Amino acid sequence: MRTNILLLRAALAAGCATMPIAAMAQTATEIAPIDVDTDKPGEAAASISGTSIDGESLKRKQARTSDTAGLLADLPGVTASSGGGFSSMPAIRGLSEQRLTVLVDGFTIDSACPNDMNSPLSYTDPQSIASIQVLTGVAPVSSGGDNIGGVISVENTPPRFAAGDTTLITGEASAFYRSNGNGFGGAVKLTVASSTLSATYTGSYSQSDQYDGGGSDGKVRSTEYAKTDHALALAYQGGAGLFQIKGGIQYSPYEGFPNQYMDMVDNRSWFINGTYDGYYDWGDLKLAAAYRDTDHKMNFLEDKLPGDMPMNTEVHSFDTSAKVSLPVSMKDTARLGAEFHHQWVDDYWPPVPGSMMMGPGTFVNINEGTRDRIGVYGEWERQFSDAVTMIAGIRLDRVEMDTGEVRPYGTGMMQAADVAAAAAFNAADRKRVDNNWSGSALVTYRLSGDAVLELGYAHKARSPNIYERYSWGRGSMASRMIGWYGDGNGYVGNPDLDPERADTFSAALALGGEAQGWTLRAAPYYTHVNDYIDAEFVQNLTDMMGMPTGFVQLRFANQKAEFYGIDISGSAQLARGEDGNGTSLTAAVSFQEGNNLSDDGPLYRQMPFNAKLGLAHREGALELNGEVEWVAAKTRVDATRNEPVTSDYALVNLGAAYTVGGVRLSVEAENLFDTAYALPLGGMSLGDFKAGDPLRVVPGRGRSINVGLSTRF
Amino acid sequence: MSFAHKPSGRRLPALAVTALVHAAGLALAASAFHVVPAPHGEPDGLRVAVFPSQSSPVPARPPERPVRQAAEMRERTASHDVAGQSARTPPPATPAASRPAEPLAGNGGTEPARPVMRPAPQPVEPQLSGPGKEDALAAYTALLRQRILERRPHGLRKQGTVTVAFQLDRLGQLAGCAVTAPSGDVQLDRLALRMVRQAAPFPKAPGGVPDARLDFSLSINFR
Repeated sequence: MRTNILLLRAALAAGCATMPIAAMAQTATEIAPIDVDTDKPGEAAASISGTSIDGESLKRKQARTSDTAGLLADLPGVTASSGGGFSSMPAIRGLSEQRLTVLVDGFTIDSACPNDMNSPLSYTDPQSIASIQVLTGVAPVSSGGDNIGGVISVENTPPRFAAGDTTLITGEASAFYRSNGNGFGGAVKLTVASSTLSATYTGSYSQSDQYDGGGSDGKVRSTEYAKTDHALALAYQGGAGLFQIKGGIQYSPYEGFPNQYMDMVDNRSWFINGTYDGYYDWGDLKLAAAYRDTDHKMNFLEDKLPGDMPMNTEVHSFDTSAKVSLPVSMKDTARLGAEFHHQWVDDYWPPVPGSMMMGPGTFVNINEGTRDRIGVYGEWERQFSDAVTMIAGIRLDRVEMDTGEVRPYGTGMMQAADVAAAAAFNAADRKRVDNNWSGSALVTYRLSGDAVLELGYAHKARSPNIYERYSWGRGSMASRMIGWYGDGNGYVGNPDLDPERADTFSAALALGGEAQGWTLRAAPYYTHVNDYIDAEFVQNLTDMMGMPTGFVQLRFANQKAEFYGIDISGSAQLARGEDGNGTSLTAAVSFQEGNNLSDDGPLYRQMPFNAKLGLAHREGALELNGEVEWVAAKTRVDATRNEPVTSDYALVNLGAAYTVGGVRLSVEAENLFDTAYALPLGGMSLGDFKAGDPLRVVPGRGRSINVGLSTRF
Repeated sequence: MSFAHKPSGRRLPALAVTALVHAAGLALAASAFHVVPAPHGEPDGLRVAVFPSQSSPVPARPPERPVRQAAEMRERTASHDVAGQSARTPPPATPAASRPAEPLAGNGGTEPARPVMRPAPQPVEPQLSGPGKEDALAAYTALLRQRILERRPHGLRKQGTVTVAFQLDRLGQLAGCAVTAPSGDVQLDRLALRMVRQAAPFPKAPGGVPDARLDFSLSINFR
């Protein structure tokens, strides 16, 4: 009891000693409330060419796919290049994932695979994502460096706190089943919080067998997967700031890759990160640090057997940053930041007993390769008036890369190409340092109450990644293990690659608004890239008998490229009722082309013209929706990679959902007419090819009945 | 749906946590706040027109007191800051404690207030032409509101409402500022405080505004 009294006194003393402004409370003169408009999910962000997807929208789609990048492809200007079942690689306006900034909870995640199987978004699950922000246009330099494209930022667990002196216990649970591939999974999120402390657990599991293509396409081999993610996030708010610490694991026992020679047979990754957000009168301070460790293993899953070829990759990443935002006047905000990112990669392929080609020693693909990046930036935001805002910034990223000596499996005749390549690689100076300057300027002009114009320019630079510079194998097999293109070709790295330097001009015009009952956005853009890292022909790849395989060996090379296009999207409220009831129509079209200016041919994996039309109706607990998507034939193909053409196709999806007792049940017929189609960005279906089928483009999914259940408590 | 329950019993851990939180808050305030430069002498030549709709009489309100511990903590950190600030600013012309508690002068002042000009950079007493104290008070609160509104942040993605109480001296210097009804999100609470602090110093209080009415309460809705 005495202790209690002492503690009470201490608490009271701490609370009362520092002059509470008692006089203030005598007769407070009330000032009329001030409304501060903020950016709502789904509405324009700081950049009107940006988009955000809130958790509700994601929840509605989680029954359809476990692939976050696949979900993002619904956005105008965003496409997904096929990988595994949860590892598609997003592209924004033709620029592939490796050229973008992809953030998960504010941190970059390094790929840990020569095929980019564990891409950053593979560490997210649509079932447990809280929101995704996508900047398709010019991204301010403060949003990230070492990229020449847009920004994708996934937030999993923003902290929640209780209101007042209560304990908040809340959570979500969801489950899904997909008939095509017998996919199923579930997720839970549980938050326990006071007004100052918060703990959130998220966990999810997903698995699927191989899916069937539409019509007579049959089973698409090597499309099975399973994975589970678990994370615990702790947060404390008080004083002037918010502290967060989060740790988690991911385990994937298998993930087939239909367009790669290899499959992922084991991926284990754990991470811990911490952030501090301080809000002071002089401005905002953000400190962050993260560590991630990934062990990745490739070999063959059932569809690519018989065979054995273990390939292991280990990656450690450390990331830290300090950023301040300073409101220097009523109209001006300055942002300053410094970032450091360390990546360490070991990539080695153990020998296969009894194999003359893959033995007797270990093939060392990357020997303790490192890629360290230090970035600093300064950015200035000025509100010239209520109508005109400008954000301009400049940043420098210094990228230092190095790697150790390598070696082939052995020194036999069959390994001669790799023996010579290893000797040349080891004899060369492999350390590279790039100083990359970037700058961006964005002007937003509110023309009227329902019209906003944004103009942007950016010069951005990106250094090559470790595999682009340090993949060295010249043998057919060794080079075919490298590359995230899904084209079956072999790739050889190039230590002399220069950083890519891109100049982007973009504009966006947004008309209408929610109040008007309609919206229309049009966003044209043009990007020119110097030293674009494409590939040049080295040789035709032959089989054991010396016959051409139809695949080629390519070497990464700096070339020139351009991208241009326009994204148009709009919506209209056809009927509007109370409480969100009503009927709405949405439409989007994207036109985009990419050209290699060095060989005057089209670039690889550029999405053809596509259009989407959606109709949604909500009446109380009932939701109905229908979508039609049409994609034009892809005739502009990359001749260097023997990229195949694909035909046009149209898909229809119908869905319904009903919420009863707080539980939402959804049923959806995806690809209702079971249309057979080739994925324009799917790559070659090597899983089918290895099983003896004719070579084809990876088919899209046939009809699937998807059932979803979700609830909150 | 979510549910909440009041913690019961176990006061000892609650007190310990409270004390720790207070200590941490004070430490943070001590280490961070006194490096804050108080924005003096706003260089922008600001012209403010008082909204006619704001000129309605302000009803006398019962004293507002911080209702929660979290609010108290923020108040204390705020007070700490204010202490640092006021040490660098001239003392108030009239100490708050010695101000007479003047009653409101009736319910007059229904006519629209006139535009108020504030010559920059030195704040001076606005020229008010309204006959009553309510006129002067309404005009002054509208002016304060406009000054604070101009400090609103941009690009936020959060929603919430924060109520801030602040106290001025007759010279328009900020004598105290605190969150009285927090939003539940420390960022919004701090941004609300920042809006008020960065808007200071305010113009001098007009002669018609009684000292007792220089305590203000303002809700800021981040929506």
